[in-house]
Amino acid sequence: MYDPCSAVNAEMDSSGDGFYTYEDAGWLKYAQAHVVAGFEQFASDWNLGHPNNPIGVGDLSQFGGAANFARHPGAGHPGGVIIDMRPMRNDNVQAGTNFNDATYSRNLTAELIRGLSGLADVVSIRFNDPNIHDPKIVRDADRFDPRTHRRLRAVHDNHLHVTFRRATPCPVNLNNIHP
Amino acid sequence: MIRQALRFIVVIALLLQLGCQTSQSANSETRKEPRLGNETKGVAAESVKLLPVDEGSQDSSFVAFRNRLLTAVKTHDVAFVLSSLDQNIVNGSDAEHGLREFKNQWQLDLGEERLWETLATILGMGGSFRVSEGHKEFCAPYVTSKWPTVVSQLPQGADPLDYQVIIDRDVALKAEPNSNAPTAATLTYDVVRVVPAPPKSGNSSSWMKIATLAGQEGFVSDKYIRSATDYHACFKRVGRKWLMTELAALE
Repeated sequence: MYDPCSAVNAEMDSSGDGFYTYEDAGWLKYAQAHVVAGFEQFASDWNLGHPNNPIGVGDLSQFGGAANFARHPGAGHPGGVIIDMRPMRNDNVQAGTNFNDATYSRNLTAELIRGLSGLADVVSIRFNDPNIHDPKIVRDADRFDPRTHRRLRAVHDNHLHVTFRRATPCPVNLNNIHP
Repeated sequence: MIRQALRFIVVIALLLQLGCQTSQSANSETRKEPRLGNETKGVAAESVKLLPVDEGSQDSSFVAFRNRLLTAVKTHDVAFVLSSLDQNIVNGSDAEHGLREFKNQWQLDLGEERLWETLATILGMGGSFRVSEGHKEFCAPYVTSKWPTVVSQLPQGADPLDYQVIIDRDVALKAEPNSNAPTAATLTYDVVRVVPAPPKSGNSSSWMKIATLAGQEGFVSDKYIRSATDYHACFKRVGRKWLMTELAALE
């Protein structure tokens, strides 16, 4: 049963001052209006100090805010209050990285997280780099390979899952299960 | 006379229809009542379980394919696995789709074991069918494919990423992260909340701190707990052949 949340109707631009988008044709590009406006203002401000380091933006929600478990089996990305973002790289290339990769910039990523965390509308930031500390950071539980005892890669090693405050009580636990 | 009879019949029909609607409405509210009560009061369910399910046996062609794939996993048959991949296979978030990235991630040329271990685990944990873009698909394991049914039962406002599933019967909930600690409770296919812990390092313990939905905290061995974001696979039937369309860990 489709249960549209009419507040999830603001479309993120595919690029703008201080940000670009990186997802494919299936990109989920809708959120509540204050989320899109708040992020685009933040990115514009970020751009003033980091003109060569735009923020890579991934999935938001789908129009109407329904969870999309085909694309996000664990989180669903419902409600129009989530933005996935790439960590920062140290080579100014617009591409993915993760916190264990040689291309990863901890300094820039920490600065990005500090900035996002300073926004009153940001509730939490899921990202696994253990060397970045912020009250709003949430880390995935560590898992280890039982043979090698090496930490296994986790889903938030390569992106920040940023959750914003819900301005409209669009339910997070929607009945409308996609697909 | 005939007109009066027709009017009588119409009135009776309308009354009957109204009666049915009222009855249906009452039934719907009755069915939804516990859920609505939870949402309005913000009270979490005491317990939510996700029981294992394997719908694969409903389709004989899929059963044959899965058995063949399991044999390939046991014998490390790279050629069969590669021939079973969709050309546009999903390899992860922010990762290229397709065979080149698949080979790169799993490093089959270097004799890496991870692919075989990952597939053996996934294929041994059931799963379910869905229709995606007009194609019938099977996704495994059940923890991921049936996760949407759990999300709708979580406490209001809960982040699904905070929750994982106990994947066995009578799993010990320990008071401390070691096997000699007292067992505080046992858990059977329960959905539990992972309690944030400081980052582990190196050869760390394999215990995970969790809380039941009723609020009881303790530690479980990470052998018995799985996240919907852990690796999953999906398979699509194209013509007479089943192809793997996803092998990825996605949030």
